[in-house]
Amino acid sequence: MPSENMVEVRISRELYEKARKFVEESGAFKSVDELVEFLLNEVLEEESGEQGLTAEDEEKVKERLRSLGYI
Amino acid sequence: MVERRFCVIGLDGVGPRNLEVVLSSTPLSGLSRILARGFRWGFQSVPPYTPIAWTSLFTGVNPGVHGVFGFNVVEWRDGRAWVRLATSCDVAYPRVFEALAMRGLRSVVVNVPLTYPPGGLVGSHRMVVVSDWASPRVFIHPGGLMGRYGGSLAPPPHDVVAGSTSMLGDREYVRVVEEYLESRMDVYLDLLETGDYSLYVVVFSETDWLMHRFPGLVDGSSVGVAYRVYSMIDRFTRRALDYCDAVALVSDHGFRVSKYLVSLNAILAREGLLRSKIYLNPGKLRNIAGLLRGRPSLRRIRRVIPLSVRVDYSRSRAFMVEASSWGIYAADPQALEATRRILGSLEYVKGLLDPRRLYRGPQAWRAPQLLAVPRGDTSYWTYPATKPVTEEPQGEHDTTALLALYGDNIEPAEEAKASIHSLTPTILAYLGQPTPKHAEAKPLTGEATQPPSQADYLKPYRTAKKLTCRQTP
Repeated sequence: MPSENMVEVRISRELYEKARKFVEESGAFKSVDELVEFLLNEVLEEESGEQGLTAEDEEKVKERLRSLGYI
Repeated sequence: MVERRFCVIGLDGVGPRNLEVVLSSTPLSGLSRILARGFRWGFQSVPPYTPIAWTSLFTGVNPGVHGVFGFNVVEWRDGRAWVRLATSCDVAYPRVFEALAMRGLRSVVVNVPLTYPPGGLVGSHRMVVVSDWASPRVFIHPGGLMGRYGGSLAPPPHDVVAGSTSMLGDREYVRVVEEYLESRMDVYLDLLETGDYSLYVVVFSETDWLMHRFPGLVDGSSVGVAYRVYSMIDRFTRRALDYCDAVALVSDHGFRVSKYLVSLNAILAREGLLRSKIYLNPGKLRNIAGLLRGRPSLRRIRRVIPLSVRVDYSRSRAFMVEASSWGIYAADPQALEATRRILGSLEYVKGLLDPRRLYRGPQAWRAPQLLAVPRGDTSYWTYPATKPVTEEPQGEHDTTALLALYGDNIEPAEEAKASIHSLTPTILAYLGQPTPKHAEAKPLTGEATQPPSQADYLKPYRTAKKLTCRQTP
């Protein structure tokens, strides 16, 4: 991302060290910056996984599965 | 700027032999090119079931780790079973597109099981997700794309027609499936050609639907019914070969023809282990018109009578929820032992498997307590109030699946042997990313002398899942 689109955010050194260790040990993220940006995106994502299935949703999907012989 | 692009074309239910049957009579240059010029493997998919197999393929781990044992989740409370539909929040291990999101790379994810709700996917801000056929709602994520594409996303064909698709005549059924794919294909192609992604995954389920309905498509006697569907898939494949550096053709299982339809639930009910419940279902009366078309069968007649019989899971001591999962759930050790004794003596059951042989990991406790492997000429279904065995030829899932790779810099690793767990590490290694530390296979391509680095994607996944799903599976 171009640097003019980035802003600095301050966190405690203690938290930064914990995050740095997390990044090094998992290997899943390239840097603490990327970890923080990723997790903030997860927190702020408007659509959550909390949308449960209504009884009507369940019956609709189950009927599809029945029509294919899966259930 | 995207360095490399990888496309995965999923052909649901198309094993190596099934594809050969189609290609022997249908000119499909895109699919043929991948098979002729690339590398291909067959692998075993056990059990051969869509939600389990695609999740294993896209995580690189077995169901004991990823936690998906079907489209449903069986939960036990005080010794009673409760069954609910699984969602994206129930997948306990990151799929390849979620791992790539952690690495800053974007994906397009089309018709992949258990991607509803999209907010339950970790890293969904780095994905475009098009709903799968089992999603309760048609969607494209992010929601802002609905304005552009929503009109082209037809609902699954099983919802379109009044009554059940099993009541449609053969020709009408094929037409409905073709129209469904045709309406969505422009979206798939537009995302392929204009999207910003490192990975594009699409699963074509239409092949599975047609093979269930037309055993002739499996044994080669009526391949023509799928001509238009395969032509559309091939058109997509040819475009994918233009836009992606590497293309994988992969299936979740194959298909065979079965002769006998066996209800293990009916047998368990007869032995007093399973209870049913009956309720009035007037909606079924709309199926009468369908019954007058086409050939009558026990299943079609059942769809007209306005009473429905379902398994009462909470009052049953042993039951099957999903036929192709082969899984039997038992409420207690005594019920399990009784079930073993009953099913073990059935000629239509080839053998009984201890799930602990297949499912190993922290989610294995969610697995069924027994797996009943069907005989080669047998299909299962779960309807509890029926004759236990009927003769009804149909297409049925088979355990042999296909993986083929073609593209730039694709060379198989020394002694490369494919399994259902190979695809994910292969994709990640090709895109220059660490492979999952828990993956149960190595990449199929690349230098054996320079194994790719590994990452523990699970730890941050579990953390992120607490945010996206407000729980950890």
